[in-house]
Amino acid sequence: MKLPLRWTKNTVIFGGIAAWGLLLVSCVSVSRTVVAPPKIAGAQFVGSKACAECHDDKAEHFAGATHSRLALKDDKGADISCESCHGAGSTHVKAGGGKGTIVNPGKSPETCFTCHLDKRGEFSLPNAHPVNAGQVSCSDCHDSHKGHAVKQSAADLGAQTKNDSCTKCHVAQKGPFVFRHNAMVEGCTVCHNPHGSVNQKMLVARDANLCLRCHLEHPAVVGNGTIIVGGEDHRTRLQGGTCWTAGCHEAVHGSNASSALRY
Amino acid sequence: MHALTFSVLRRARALGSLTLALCGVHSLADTEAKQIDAFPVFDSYIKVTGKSPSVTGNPSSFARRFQTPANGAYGLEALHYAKDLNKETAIEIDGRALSGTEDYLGQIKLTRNETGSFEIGYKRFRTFYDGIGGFFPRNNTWMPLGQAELHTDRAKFWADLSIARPGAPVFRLLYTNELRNGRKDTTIWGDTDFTGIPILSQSSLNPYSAARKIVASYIDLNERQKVLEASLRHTVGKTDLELVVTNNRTDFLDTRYLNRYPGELRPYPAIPASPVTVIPPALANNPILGFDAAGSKARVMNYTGKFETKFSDRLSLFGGLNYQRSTADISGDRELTLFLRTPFGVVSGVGGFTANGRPPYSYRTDFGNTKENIFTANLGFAYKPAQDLAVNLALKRERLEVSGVNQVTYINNLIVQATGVITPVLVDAPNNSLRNEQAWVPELEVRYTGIKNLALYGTFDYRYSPGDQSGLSTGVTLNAAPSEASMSDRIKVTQGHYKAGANWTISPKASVRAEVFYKSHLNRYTGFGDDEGVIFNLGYEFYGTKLTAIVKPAPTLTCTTRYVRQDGKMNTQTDVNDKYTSLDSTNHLFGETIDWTPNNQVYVQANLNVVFATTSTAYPRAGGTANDVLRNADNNYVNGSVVAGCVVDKATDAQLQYTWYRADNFNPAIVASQPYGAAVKEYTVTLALKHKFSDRILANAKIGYFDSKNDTTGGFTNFKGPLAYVSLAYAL
Repeated sequence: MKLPLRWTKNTVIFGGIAAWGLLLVSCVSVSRTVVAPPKIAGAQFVGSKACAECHDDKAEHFAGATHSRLALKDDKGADISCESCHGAGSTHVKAGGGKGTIVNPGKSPETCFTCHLDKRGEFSLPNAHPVNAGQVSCSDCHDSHKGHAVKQSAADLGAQTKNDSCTKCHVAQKGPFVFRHNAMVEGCTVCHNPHGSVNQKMLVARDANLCLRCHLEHPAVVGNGTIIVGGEDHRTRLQGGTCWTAGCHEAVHGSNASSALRY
Repeated sequence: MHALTFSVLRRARALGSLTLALCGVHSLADTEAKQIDAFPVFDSYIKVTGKSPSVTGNPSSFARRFQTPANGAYGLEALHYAKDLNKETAIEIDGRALSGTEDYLGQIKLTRNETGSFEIGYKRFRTFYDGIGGFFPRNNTWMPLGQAELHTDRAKFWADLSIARPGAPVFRLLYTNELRNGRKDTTIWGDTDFTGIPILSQSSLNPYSAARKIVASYIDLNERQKVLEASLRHTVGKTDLELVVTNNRTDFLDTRYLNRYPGELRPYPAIPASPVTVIPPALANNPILGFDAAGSKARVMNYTGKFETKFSDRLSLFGGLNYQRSTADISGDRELTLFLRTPFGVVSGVGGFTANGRPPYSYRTDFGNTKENIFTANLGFAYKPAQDLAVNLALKRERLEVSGVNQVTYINNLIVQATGVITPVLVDAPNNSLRNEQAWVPELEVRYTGIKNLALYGTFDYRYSPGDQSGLSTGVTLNAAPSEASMSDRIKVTQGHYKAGANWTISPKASVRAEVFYKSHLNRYTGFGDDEGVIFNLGYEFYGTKLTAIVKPAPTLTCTTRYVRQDGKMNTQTDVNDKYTSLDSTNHLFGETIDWTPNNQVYVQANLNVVFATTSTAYPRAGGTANDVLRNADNNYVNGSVVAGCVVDKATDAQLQYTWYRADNFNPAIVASQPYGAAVKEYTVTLALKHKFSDRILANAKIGYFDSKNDTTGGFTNFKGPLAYVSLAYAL
């Protein structure tokens, strides 16, 4: 398919300004450091104790945090846990705090991507939470300063339900429903990858495989051409589409009217 | 996939080399540079911006991918104002107002030393959707929605008061009011027979059904959530205390629109099976049009009390109690109108029944509510038997009781096609359920740092949750009679999670992190009472490894490598079927980031992610024509980026960025079903400049080009074009 290329008026205007900016450059010697994000240009490590002097509320619980397991230290053995994520702190300390002198992972995921390379890839997929766009941050779902990094620990008092991290925003999926989908007991991440997926709605599988993982049953004879779900052959039904398309099991998160989650 | 990957790598390598060559010319001569020309960091500033693409192709798919409308966006990108009002009090103001992306922020924070803080703000942003359905390649079937761009808006207002005086309890009162509304797409697609597959009047001659569920569908969201939370934190002696009370109210009504067999209508009388006739697809089914609305007004009260007592540097005890009670009034109407041909013309009715297919199932909710009570308590200790050994052990007890009642009335129309007579039939349908679970959850964590440069850890948690559930679900039969289904199950859920890992700093130039994990779940549902003997067991286990290596072969070069492998198996068992493996999955994930800073004035960062993920269920064991219905689901993809930045002159920095993404899981061979599998090729390239006009004015300019090709949608969602962005920041 060949698509004609066209330019809008705004693109010409903004592109023209940008091109004009390109012409501004000249070759002279410069005394300035540039660094790839999320580093702080020219800053040195100061150690976590310096951070705790002002940010005691964050530091006091960090010993029990998931990330403290790494026990990160600099070449001299000093604890640099804070600066491993927030960048070297000397500029921040010297300035007495302030934006622009320290990395705030709550504003940008680049810090997290430094170690979690796979998450950079997932958040760059077409179906992902808008973390790269800055509308959602890693810290909305993960607390790196205390307890489990994921805001739901097995024995954590605050985690009444497994899906709190998701349903605090997605209220319609929270329930409870008169008839629950037991997949919700296992957690939203059984069906969705919250970091991103190649599939729409961040689904971990795009087709009926998604449901068959938990619902495929033993056929009368293996290889007899049937796909048994709920004791019935669903082979011809699956021809039409997914398990959750119109007229089938639409109420994927739970239903108030159908125990088979039809609607 | 491999050929594809290497092709991408070759192009990325060539581009990276070019970038390095261009940037290195300037920077090599300046390796001793100091920071006297550093760009200023503004304490307070205002930044205005404008960005505009020129989209050729599908504008709504562009909007969804880049979360920017095809018309672009402009306005106030950022406002930050910070000032010390006096020695004790500081104020911070933040703002944003971008038209197009409808991205707004207004926030004021006052902080007073040794007193507390007050913050109030409003935030809103828009999420874009493209509203597409499925694609069927047999005859290039593509049925787009009428709307060009779909979007939802999320808004949040908050007020946060914190009083923290020395030696006194810290009191916090937080109020949030969140809204989510708008229209988005859904994958609950409708059906069509316009697929190019012939329909024969003799069903035995139809190897495959013509109907495919690929008609686009959408849902209107109207959701609000208000939260009022009060908390008190105080330290008494060696004990930290925390009390939190939360009142959460949610109110939503989401309406999903269904559109099945649009533009079709069966003939009357039906075409006889003999002689065999090819039925025009336009006459293959009856249109169904309507909506499914589900709503709830819920109130959740949550009470939490926690304590932590530090007996010494080596031992602390912690625990708490939590009680949550929620009640909700549920609502929901489902009204689907079926169109049917009779000798007297086309008739329609909500929930029409015929002898030729399933009823659309329409109902109205008379009344309904759900209740949930959760009581939770935990107790644990953190103990350091040695300087380098830490042990955390905790036990949680959870008691859950959930009940629900929903009385609905099914709406039907019995239609005699020969006479066209319609008889309304209403069917009362009670629904209810009750579930109890009592869980025990022990959790253990051990950390050891006694070996130089090595940190070891292990965690274990286990959930044992027995209980029971019962309920009644009432539907309707094809003859408009109630159809009741009851359930009575004993529940036994066991979930174990195990993890062990190490962080080894081999030298200042190399460190390695490794973690192995294993989780095993078993969910048993055993019928009792009327359901005696009915069994459904679901078990699964996932296990894998995460490896990370950070190597610095030179002071200017850092290579970070991450590899994750996860394997999974699931199995089902019922009272009539033996145990069967329902899932066999394997995921390989490889990630690489290379940071190269040849000198102070140049940096290069390259990122690459390669994923091979396979989900196998029925295929290929199903055999016969079932193997034409479903194949394995692959989620393979490769994406990456190269970004290079350099100093251009005393007042200008440049950055060149190239990103790409490819997925090649499209399988058009499955003509019997749908050609599922994401297959996309896309890239973006941008060149950006940052320029200092003065110590108070910084400017950014960026031009770029994007290209996206999507085989999954038959190319109907392709888009490409140039992109321009300009911003100006002024120090206040």
